[in-house]
Amino acid sequence: MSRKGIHDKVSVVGMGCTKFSEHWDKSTDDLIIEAAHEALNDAGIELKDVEAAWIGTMDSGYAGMTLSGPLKSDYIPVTRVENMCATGSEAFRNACYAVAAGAYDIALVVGVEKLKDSGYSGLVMNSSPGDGTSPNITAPASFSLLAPAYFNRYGLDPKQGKEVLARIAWKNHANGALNKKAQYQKEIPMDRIINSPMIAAPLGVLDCSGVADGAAAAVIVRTEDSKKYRNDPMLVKALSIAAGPGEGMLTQDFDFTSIQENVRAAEDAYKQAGIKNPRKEIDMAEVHDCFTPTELVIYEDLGFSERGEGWKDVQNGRFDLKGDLPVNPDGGLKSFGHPIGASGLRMLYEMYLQFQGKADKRQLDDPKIGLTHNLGGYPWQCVSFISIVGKNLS
Amino acid sequence: MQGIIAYEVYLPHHRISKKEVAGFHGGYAGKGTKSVAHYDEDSLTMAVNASNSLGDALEKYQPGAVYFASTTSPYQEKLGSVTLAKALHLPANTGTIDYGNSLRAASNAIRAGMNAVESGKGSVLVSLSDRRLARPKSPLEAEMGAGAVSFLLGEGDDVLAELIGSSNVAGEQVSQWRTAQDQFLRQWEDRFIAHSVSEAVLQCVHDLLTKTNRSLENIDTVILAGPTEKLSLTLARLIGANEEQVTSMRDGSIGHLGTANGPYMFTKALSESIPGQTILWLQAGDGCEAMLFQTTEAISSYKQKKPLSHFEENSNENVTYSDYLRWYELLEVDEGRRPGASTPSAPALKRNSDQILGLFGSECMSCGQSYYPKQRVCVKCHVKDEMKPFSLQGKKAKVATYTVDYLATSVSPPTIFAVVDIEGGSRMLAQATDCTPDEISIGTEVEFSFRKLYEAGGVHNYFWKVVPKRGVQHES
Repeated sequence: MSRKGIHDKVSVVGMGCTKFSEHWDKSTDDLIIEAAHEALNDAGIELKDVEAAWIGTMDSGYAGMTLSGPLKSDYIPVTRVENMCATGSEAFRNACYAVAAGAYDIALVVGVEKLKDSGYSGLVMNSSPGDGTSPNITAPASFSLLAPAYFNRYGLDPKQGKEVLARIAWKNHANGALNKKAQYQKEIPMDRIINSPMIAAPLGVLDCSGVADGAAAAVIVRTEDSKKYRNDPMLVKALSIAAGPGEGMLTQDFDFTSIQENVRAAEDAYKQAGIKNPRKEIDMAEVHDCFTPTELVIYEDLGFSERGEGWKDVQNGRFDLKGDLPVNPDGGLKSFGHPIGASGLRMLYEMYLQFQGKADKRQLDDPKIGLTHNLGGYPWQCVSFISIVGKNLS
Repeated sequence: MQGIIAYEVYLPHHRISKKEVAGFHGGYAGKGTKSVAHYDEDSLTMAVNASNSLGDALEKYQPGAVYFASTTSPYQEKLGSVTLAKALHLPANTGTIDYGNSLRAASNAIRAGMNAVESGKGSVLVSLSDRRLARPKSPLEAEMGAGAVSFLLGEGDDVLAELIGSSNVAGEQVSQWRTAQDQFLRQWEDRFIAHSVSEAVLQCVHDLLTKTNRSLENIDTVILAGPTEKLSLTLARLIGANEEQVTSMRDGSIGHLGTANGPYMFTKALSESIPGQTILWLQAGDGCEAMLFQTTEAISSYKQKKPLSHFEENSNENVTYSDYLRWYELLEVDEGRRPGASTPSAPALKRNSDQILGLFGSECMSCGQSYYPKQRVCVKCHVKDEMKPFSLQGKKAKVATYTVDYLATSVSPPTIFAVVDIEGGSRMLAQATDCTPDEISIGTEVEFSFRKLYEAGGVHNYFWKVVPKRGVQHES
């Protein structure tokens, strides 16, 4: 699956991100305008400079008008993108390719989701009419399937397993506490996480990402043009997305301790970026911690931990802000919140801030290579996105 | 020889004690329990499960007709027998007839089935099932249970009990009834029913004994399937049956099973019979119908796949009255802040009816991998359109991983979902039912059970769930 990719061909020269929150007083349009203008201002350009735009949203709007309407863009092409929870990343990927191809010089990407107008708890997706037999399993329940399978395979008793998962949530909350744009800006003690009300056993409510409204945006140009806009652009080294054929629920080959789409997307992305040893070469990562067991499995799928060792790395603090490989320094989906279409761009926003030394109290020590991982679907079948971004040409 | 070739019973997993019912309303508590259908069961799901246990006999005899008898068919207009035939993999040209409107639907269906057998139309599957509802606090409430019985009627050396003769008497009266709009069963005063029904029963017994040239004292077992257990015993006494003859009628644990009640007692009598015994089945209901059976040599070697002990030893006796209210939709509950179920698409239901009701997936003819749901392209060897149908019914299955979903909308939360690995290599995400989270773990053996997922837009959405494999089961 070796693909050429667009290593260092395009760069991000402006980004914006709203606070992720229950924005009772803001509409989808308000969030798009806020994020888009922050990114344009950051790049030092105006909307009229943008030649094409992509809007990523799962359910908060349809077609390109979702963006052209509120922003009043001047009849430029706008594409609305949906790829479940990887929607924001997918919008970014498509915009990068268009710029790399030379079709446009400047592209704008916005990801947005307005979840809290529905009145529902958790995430609810529009589904097409069917024969009524698809299980009405909720998102936390579908990802909680990973937990007993992982505990069973690696010999963790339920109490031990629960502590490992809680330790992941604890870390992400500790990071989010340092982030002014996060939905939940406070540390949560381990015992409160462990004892939080059950949502999908063994997951409690504090094992789940925050349901939030929000938007994030990026301005993309070719790397050769990037210095016109700023001295510290973020370079795109690899973009990969793997869509699964569904083997996880069709055959008995997968045991729910790994997500094959993650493994495939990682292989592809590492090849594009020339990464041989992800554990050593990657300085920081933002991964799709929709639920705590997802993050645990991702460590192993992406090669951050050896198989069966992820839980030990969690306990020894490897992925903490001060650890060898900080994961979700901005708080992750867990504490930053998860407005579906915006999340992939929010992850890139943290990389961008870290490279520029603007990550405030979360600032890492001069990171040079970062990874974002964004997943849409279910553990048995999903789309898995990985980007590798960097501070310098390589 | 013509008669009953095979029989199977299905009883729900759940029981409520009469004490629990009385505890809610106050007042006198009788002894024992009654069977309670789970929230995902109705007369049709139970009929499918009872009939499905007949598996091998159905395979061997290929019934030419399916009769479904119930006073509580899930639809006023739509045949249960058609759904039943589809779930049992019977071809579209199988005869399909529903019987209802009276407890006598049971004997109507059996007698019509025997008529068909006698006229040389092949074997007939008859399934009798009910889940009747009595008004809370009414005397009937503590007694109305739920369950199903299926018989395969036919001809040949496998016949377990031969039909010797039958008779019927119509009785125009108001005793137990329900209008088209009534949710709950109505009943007139016991003493009047005993009086009025006894006229028809006596006449019926007299006619049958005369026709068959027998006397009552020479009958080994008498089953009097009346409107309630007490009335059944009263009526049996009135016709002069003695204690030994009516022993099979006593069952303090499952309650009255409606149209399945007489059949249930009949199967109990059959399971306790030796060859050459006579069983008189009197089915009351808007009159009476009588059938006299005699067991054959074959009865001594017959084994139910799921004998009564299977259901007795594994039941959950601890249903609370509040569970009962929710399961029978007697209490409107909040659905939580989640979207309601959407109406299944009729075209999708039609396209996938074999898959949904027959549990048919597909098997790759190139590499042998099986799938559920059916696939056109093999995920293993990637060939296209080289699949044959493959049903998961009766296949061994075990849990690969599972979750307990407290957020999913359900009448009976939490919902247990299990990733189930099935013999033959396929896998599916199934809902587990009739169990607590403690009963499911990685490696648990499960079996498929036909259930109703939900009802939306007036459509009963039937599908298969899994239950932990329990208790006595005879493999054939």
